[in-house]
This record gives sequence, C-alpha cells and structure tokens, in this order.
Amino acid sequence: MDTHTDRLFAGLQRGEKGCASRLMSLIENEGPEAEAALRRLYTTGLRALVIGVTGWPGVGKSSLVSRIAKSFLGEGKKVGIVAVDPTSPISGGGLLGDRIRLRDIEGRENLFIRSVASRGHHGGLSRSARPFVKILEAMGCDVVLLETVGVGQNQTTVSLIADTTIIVVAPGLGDYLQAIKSGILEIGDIFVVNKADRPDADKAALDLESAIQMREKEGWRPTVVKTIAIDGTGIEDLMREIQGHTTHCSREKDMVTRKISAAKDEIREAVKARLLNHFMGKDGLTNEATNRYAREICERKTDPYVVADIVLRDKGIN
Amino acid sequence: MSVKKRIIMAKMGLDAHDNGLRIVSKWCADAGYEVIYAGVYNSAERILQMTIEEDADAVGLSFLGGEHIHYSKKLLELFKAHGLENVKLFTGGIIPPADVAILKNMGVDAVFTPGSRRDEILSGINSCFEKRGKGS
Amino acid sequence: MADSPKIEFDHTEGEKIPHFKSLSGYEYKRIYTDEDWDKTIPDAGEYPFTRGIHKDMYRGRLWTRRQQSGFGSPEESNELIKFLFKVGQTGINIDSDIAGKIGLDPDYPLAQADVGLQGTSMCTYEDMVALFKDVPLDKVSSTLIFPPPYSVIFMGQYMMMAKAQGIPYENLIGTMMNCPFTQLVGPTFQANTDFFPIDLAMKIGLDLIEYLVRVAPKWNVLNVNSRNIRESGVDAVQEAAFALSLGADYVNGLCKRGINVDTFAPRIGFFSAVHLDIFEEVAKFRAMRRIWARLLKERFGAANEKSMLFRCAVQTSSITLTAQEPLNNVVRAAIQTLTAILSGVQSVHTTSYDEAYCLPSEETHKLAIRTQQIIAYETGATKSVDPLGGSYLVEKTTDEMEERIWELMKEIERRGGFVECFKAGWVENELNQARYKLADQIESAELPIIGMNMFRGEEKAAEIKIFTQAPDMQAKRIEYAISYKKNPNRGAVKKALDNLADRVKKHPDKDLVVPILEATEAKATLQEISDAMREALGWSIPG
Repeated sequence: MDTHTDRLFAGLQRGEKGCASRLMSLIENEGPEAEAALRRLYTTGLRALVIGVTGWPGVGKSSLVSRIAKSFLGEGKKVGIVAVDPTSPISGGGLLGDRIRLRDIEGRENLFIRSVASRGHHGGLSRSARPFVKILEAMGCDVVLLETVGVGQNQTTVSLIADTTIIVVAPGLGDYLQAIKSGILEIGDIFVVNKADRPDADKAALDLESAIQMREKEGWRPTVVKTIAIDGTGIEDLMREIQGHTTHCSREKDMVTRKISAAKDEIREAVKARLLNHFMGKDGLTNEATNRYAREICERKTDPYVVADIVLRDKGIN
Repeated sequence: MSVKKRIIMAKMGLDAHDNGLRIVSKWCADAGYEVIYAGVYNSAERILQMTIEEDADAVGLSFLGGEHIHYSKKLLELFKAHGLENVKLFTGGIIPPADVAILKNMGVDAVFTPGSRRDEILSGINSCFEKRGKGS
Repeated sequence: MADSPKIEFDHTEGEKIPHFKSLSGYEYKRIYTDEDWDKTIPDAGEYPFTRGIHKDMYRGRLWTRRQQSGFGSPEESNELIKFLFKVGQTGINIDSDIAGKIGLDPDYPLAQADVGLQGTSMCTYEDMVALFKDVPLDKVSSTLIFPPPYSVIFMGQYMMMAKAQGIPYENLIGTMMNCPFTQLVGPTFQANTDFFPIDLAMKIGLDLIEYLVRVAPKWNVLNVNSRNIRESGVDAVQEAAFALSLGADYVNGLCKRGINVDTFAPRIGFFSAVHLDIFEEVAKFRAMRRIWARLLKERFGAANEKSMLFRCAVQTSSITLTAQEPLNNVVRAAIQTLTAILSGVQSVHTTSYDEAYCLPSEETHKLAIRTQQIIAYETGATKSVDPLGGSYLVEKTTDEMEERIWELMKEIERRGGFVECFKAGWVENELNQARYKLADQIESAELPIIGMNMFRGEEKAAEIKIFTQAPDMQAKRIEYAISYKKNPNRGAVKKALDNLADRVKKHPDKDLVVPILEATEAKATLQEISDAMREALGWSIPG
C-alpha cells in the first residue's frame, strides 16, 4: 500500500479535513492509487445518516440543504455536504455554484462542504459521489447531505446511495407533474414543495399527495412537506419527517433490502467499470477503431452488437 | 485519468463589483477548469477553509477599490501557515501598474489588469500551473 | 533580403465600421427622411415633455455640475468639495465608502480593509458635520447616495446639522437617493440583499418619503438608479424599462398608503448612465420622458404637471472607459457629456479619465468639470432648446425606443412589477445574460473599443498619476469608531436603540422613521442603529 494513502487514511480517521479533501481528489482524479483507496473505504468503519436532496434547478435545493444542515449542526452533529453540479459536455469544465448558496452556514468547524463536478459521467451524477460520502462517514460525520440536480437517472442513483431521499419541487416550475410521471414516486421518501408562498403551492402538494396515495407500497408512506426554505417555514416539519423515516428504517426489514439493492448496484457498477476498462480502455478497443465503427454505424453499414461481438472475440471470448 | 484543475474564484472584503469575477469564472469553466464560485464578501479565513475542503489548485481574486495588497498578503500568509504554499494565487481588477511588481514579489503568481483579453487571461492561468517552484 | 516596410498600415482605403447596429441591436437605416417621421410634437415643458421638462431648459438655467466625490476621512472629503466648487462645480454629490452604504462602521472586521477607499468613510453625526463644514445648506443642493434603511440615519444627521445652523427644514434643497434595489456600489444583487431584508428596507424608504414630503417640501426623496444595472452590461432598452418599472412600483407603493400622488411625485428623480451611442442615448432619454409622463398621468392620475416630469441626473459610463491609452477616455467622456446635454438632463457627473485606475484626483476632477463648462459656454449646444428635435433619425429612433421599452415594461408588469422580478431572480438572470453577451462582444470586437480591441498599441503600462490616500487613513478611522463607541457618556444611546429594536420587533408595519431618527439624535452610530434593527429581526450579516 502506498504510504501516502496510508497517511491520508490515518488523518481521515482523526477527522482531519485536509486529509479527507486530498483523498477525495485522489479518487476523483482516477489515478493509479485511486482504486486501492476506494476499496479501502468499503472496509473503513463508521456510518452516517445519508440524506439525498434532489430536484430540478431553481427549486431551492441549496437553501433547503442549508436549513437541514443548520438544524443538525444545532444539535451538535458533524455534517458533511457533497454538492454535485453538472460538467459541461463541451468544455469538460464546470462552474460549481452550490457552495455559494450555502454561505450562511459555511465556515463552521463541524461542517465540511465539497463541490463536485459530474465530469461527464453518464446520467450526470458524479462517479465520485458514493466514495465522497464514504470519506465523510470515515471522517466522522454524523450526517451527510448529498445534493444533486435531479434529472431522471440521477434521482435513482441518489436513492441507492442515500438512506433518506428527499425530492424537492417548486410550484410554477411545472416539474412536479413531471415528477409524478417520471416514476419519481417510487424512490422519494419525502417530497418537499418549496417556495410554498407561491400561489400554486397548495395544488402542487395535493397533486403529489394523491399520486402517492395511488402507489401500491408497503412500509413507509412518503409524505409531502411544504416549506419556504429562505425564511425557514416548514423546516421543523421536514426535520420531523426525516427523523420519522430514520426511525422507521432502523426498525423495518425493507431497509436491509434497500441496502442489498444498493450493494448489488455497486457490484454492477464495479463489474461494468472493469469490463469497459478491459475492453475499451488502453489495452482494448482504440479510439480510432471506435470512431471507425461509429462512422460505419451512422452510415448504416453495421450495428453496435456486431461491434460488441468483434470486441469480445478479439479478447478471446465467444 | 480524469485530472481537472480546481480554481476558487472569489472577492474579499466589502467590494461587490463582481462582473469581472463572473465573466472570468465562465471563461475558465468553458476552458475546462472546475471553478468553485465563491462570490463576494469573503474573509481570508473563509477562503482558507474553502481551499482546504475543495482541495483547490488555485485561488483567483478580483479587486476594485485598492485593497489588493492587503488581502493578497493576508491570504498568502494564511496559506503559508497551513502548508498550502502549493496553491496558486492570481489576481485581477483595478490594480495600478506599480503594484503589479509588489504583488508578484509577495508571491502572487499572476496579475491581470483591466483590458486583459480572454486569451491572455487563460494562457496566464495555464502557465501558473505549468510553472515549477512553490511546489507543483 | 527584403526591405523592412517603412510604413505600417492598420487600415487603408475602403475602411468601414463593422456593422450599423446600436448597442441594443437597433439597426440604423442608411438615411432617415420624412417617410420615417413627419409628425409634430409639443413644445418643451408641455406634456408629454419629449423635448424637455422645462420650457427654457438650459437657456433658463444650466444643468447642475455635480461630480460624485469623496474619499478617506470626512475632513479630506470636505477639502475636496471646496476644491470642486472652486473650479466650478455647482452641486454636491456625496459618495460614501461601501461600509457607509450598507450600514457598517469602520471597525467591523469585514469592512476594515475597504474603509474610505471608494468614498468617504462616515458613520457619526460629527462625521456629517465635518463633511459639510462651511457649506451653506440652504444655498447648495446636495445629493446623498444612501439606500434605506441607512438613508434615514444619514438624513437624520443632515437635518440635525441644519437645525444646529438655524436652517429650517423647509429650506433644505437636495436629494436622498433612498432606493434599496440598484444603487449600491457594484451591480450585484447580493449586495442589496445580504445586509438587510429587502422588503423592510423598501418599506422604511417609503416611510422616509412620507416623512420628508411633510417636513422638507423642497427636498427630493427618491432617485431611481438605473446606472449600476446598465454598467453591468444591460442595454439602453433594459436600463430604461427597469428604471421606469421600479419607479412605478414606488409610486404604486406610496399611493397604496393613501397618499396623493401629487404630494410626492414632484420629488422623485432618476439617475442614469449615458453611453457612447449618441443617438440611441438621446432617444432613450426622450422616450423615458414620454413614458414617465404618461404613466403618472394615465396610470396614477397625477393632476399636477410637476408630478409627470422625468427629472434625470446622469453619470457618464464607466465601462466604456479603458485602462489602455487612458487619455482616450477624455474624448469618450466629453462625447457622452455632450450626449447627455443633447438629451436634456438636469445634472451631470463626467467620469474622470483615470476611472480604470483609481479614484479621481483633483486634476482629473477639474478636467471633468471643464469638459462640462466648455460644452455649456463654448459649443452653442445650450443656446436652443432640444436642438436635435425634429431630426428624422432622432424622432424615429425615439418612437422605436419607446415601443421597445414599453414592451419590456409590459413584460415586467405581467410578472408582477420590477420588485417582484427582482425577488424572483428574473432581473439577476437578465443581468447575467447581458454581462456575458457584452463580454463576448468586447472579445470579438463586435463592440469596438479603440486602443483595447481595435488599434491596440504597444503593451507598455500607461504613464498615469495614480491617486493615493494617506497611509494611516484607515487606521485612524477605525480607531475613531472604536473610541467613539467606548465613550461612557452615551446613556441616551442605549435607550433609543432599545426603543427602536422594540418597535422593529413588534410593529415593523408602523412608522419606523421616528424611532430611527431618535436613535440618530441620541448620537448612536450608523452600525449601532443598523444592528439594533438587524438583531430585532434575527438577521445575520456576512462577516
């Protein structure tokens, strides 16, 4: 094992922010020691309450995260926030603006905020989100908040990482209807209608509630909470719901099932990463070859399955 | 490998003319950097915390009122005290020509004065990262 | 070996400007004729005042030469005011430092390094007195640039000063800017909203207006500031629409309190930028005059013509000035000043040519004033009212600008008015889009800036004398604030602050001007009063 990584882990377990931060970069940069460090995280102890907060841009996620964090900090808890912003597919860079929206809690000793760019990973949610959450747990955080823009696949991934998933909508943005249609109901544990001072807030809440009623689900019945994050209205109710869900999970078997699902997802991801690396990484299908095949597909001369067969055959698999 | 350079873009003290900060932030993001936008009203301590938590490779500061030497000095001192000498520092804004040398001697890696064009700024930032000395 | 060229060409025959659009995208025609415009318009001084708000305009009285000034201590700023009058300024324009504008004393940690840098450091009654030493308050009009709630404090200090000099409030002339949305230094909305809740700030501003129209009838109670937004890149149409919509929101807010519009509307003014596209700017101002007059008459039912007048102060644009070849800025500012005069404004600050380097020095301030005097006395532009009136281009462009401004105002209205748009983040969005667009236009030279993106000379640093301040200025001001507040003989302060806090906590909907004035009279400092209110609201500020 690399001594440098050893030192980082030692510092991490002492609660040192600098070590946590450098470990995050190590993993994010996907260098040679990254995988070893990643694997070690799985066996490093400590668990935190992981809360996912997701929703479309403009609904007020950061204000909400700020309030939730403040509440936990007020109870003397150590809080970590992982704020994921999209990376531009064109430039590969990113403008990470969540942190500035958390400024009224920033700077506290017991708080750690990390801005993460998605770095172009499929679905938008950073491949680093899971490891970063683990790092913060290992550092000693009692609560970790994972904030991300919720678009389709993202939200499912969040629900696999988080213990409690909060879906945030806001009236007037129209998206709560999308939320109902897109299957989000399946994965949200708590639904928040933020900016509840807006005119259609009540209607949005009602629509969500009736859609939830129609779900066939045993166990935890998701609730709808109305908030005005910028002035703190409804936050007490939200914290109560979070506590309620946490208590429910500690008692119910279906939490274990969820964790198993999450772990299965991680296995799939790990295998996928290995396979892609093996077949399409530096010893596999080259860039030029991939481009060539892609052109042939566009010219309707071949299809992706033929290409996949070729790739497998080249590596000796039938 | 997926290495990206991470830059914190901030203003310190009370001045809130953030036009330049926003524009240069966007230019940097478009050029492939990960920019952590810290906005206005930052103290040196706050920027220090951010630099640690975000493991930033550089901090970019924008000034208007004449406070550039005071704040650059303060931040560099804090970085030194916390073993962050590797973090690059560049500044821009209303900085009189005579102060450019003073800032560079203090340890500021690049200074951009008004009228600097985008390409000039981006290549200036690029070369900060390629420069050796002060660690890499 | 080829001879090196003896003459370098940048352009030769066939040089053309890149396009014929204005900054806001208005396409200038080849030539304008009576087919474009052949109407008649009313005289200056007649509704809807397209040609000017007064019949005689500059023939009757020249615009006020009102340079914003202020730096360091109140004493130094007072010296500067005296200098400016000596070289020909005719009105005062107080520019405090940032701390003053956001309710902070010099000793506040986040404020310390900025004290006195962008304007006068001031926080006590004694500071106000020092700043205005020897100034006859009933003969010279002063503009005070402060947003609410701090506008109340500084107005209080100003009135205390007048009282001490035996000048009745009825004789006070001047303006308190009093707008919480757009006047803060630095066009960022976070600046407007981080240090005090915006709704209460606006409400206190309205309280102040109600108070002042009763006790100081000659005093101007509001300047709607569109310049700061314009200087972050929005175009002339947006600038005009935002300003007029915000003005309408204020008028509306006051009318809703049951106050008759004619009691306060004559005391409302505007503060705009003036840029380099001469005819677009002239058209903008003429259109704004027309729209404001119509708004006051038709929407708010003003009966007094004085209520319908679009009174405007301007400062020439800063973002059009360059660090490269700074003397070019003298030319730019002169043209912009002339544009302002051709537009019929009421007072002018000509931006100094060292704008990209530092605060103006005495020399550059003087040149700015000379610029205005030359235009006033030497050019003949002031000898006839509205000299551009009747020009096919100007009138047609005025009509076009009016249409576009009105369209945008309707959009803002649809969204609930400017204040709502501000709070919903819509204005910030518009601003952000505009700033990036402008940056791109400058990068690509679609917006030509001579010496910077076109005809750029060799890159050597401009030789320019930089205005510097006394090295111990900040330390002295910080020390002053600390010892002022440590003074044991301040029993009345605590009582007044407690009373204010109590009112803010329990009855913020009632008048807040009187308790703030009482705290001011007890000699509480700017931040002591502001903090009393903030604490009562549970409002924490950056720091």
